[in-house]
Amino acid sequence: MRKIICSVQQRKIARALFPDLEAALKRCYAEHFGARPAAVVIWIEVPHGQGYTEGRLSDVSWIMVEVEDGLTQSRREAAMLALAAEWARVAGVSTDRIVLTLCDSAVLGLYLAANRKRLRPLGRIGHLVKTLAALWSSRRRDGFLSVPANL
Amino acid sequence: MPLYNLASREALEPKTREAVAQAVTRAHCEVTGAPAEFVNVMFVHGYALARGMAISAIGGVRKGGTRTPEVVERLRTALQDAIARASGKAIERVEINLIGIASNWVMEGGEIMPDPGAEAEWLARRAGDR
Repeated sequence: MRKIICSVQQRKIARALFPDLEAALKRCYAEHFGARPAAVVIWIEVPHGQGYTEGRLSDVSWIMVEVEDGLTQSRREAAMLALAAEWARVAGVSTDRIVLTLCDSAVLGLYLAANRKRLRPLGRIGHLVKTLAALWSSRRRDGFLSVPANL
Repeated sequence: MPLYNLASREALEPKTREAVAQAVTRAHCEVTGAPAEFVNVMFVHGYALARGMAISAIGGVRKGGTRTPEVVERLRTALQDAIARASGKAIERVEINLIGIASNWVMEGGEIMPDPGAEAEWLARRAGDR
């Protein structure tokens, strides 16, 4: 399972677009990297006033896509271009409003581990439980996986 | 890129968030020479941070090019100082964790990002393309 983590600014990308964006990202991912391991899209809505670019409130979407370690640059670049184009087409935004990272699995792992390690030990358990509960309830309620930016 | 994720237990006031975002942007640009438009900051709260910590920042930053270990360490201390000052927290209660990401793994504005230090050429080419 490969993760695609989409952090979007609340009110800048409508939630109604999430299913279409998710389908487009998954289709594009499968075209470039195959259907296995499958890509899972996780949405994080950044509440208004909590995302900044250039020191000002942001309307940029930050998309982190997990890929196999050591992926060649030509394959990475081809997928980046396609994924950004798909996002821009479905969301109706310019590619200027996207920061897209195709990140080796090991490096994404470092990032996620750092996010866990900054919590106190009991907080890590609470974080895991809240995350799993949020994923489960969002899947049931909305049909897509999302976690809140704030715990 | 960079994208800094700043976590705290309690939500920071909107004015403090703005001041911290600007301080982070300034510190990043002063140390690395990167343009401000590259710098992204995201605030999250409700995090039960490790004992004694008030703000924890994880930064995904480009590596290679002009980013020597000395520059990265200077960036870490400049960010810690900037965040502490802008938020009013003691410097020892602010932690910074930087994770290096290859420039060519990242696309902004529809283009692969340049190596650190090669931004001027990249920006000029982008401006020419528009």
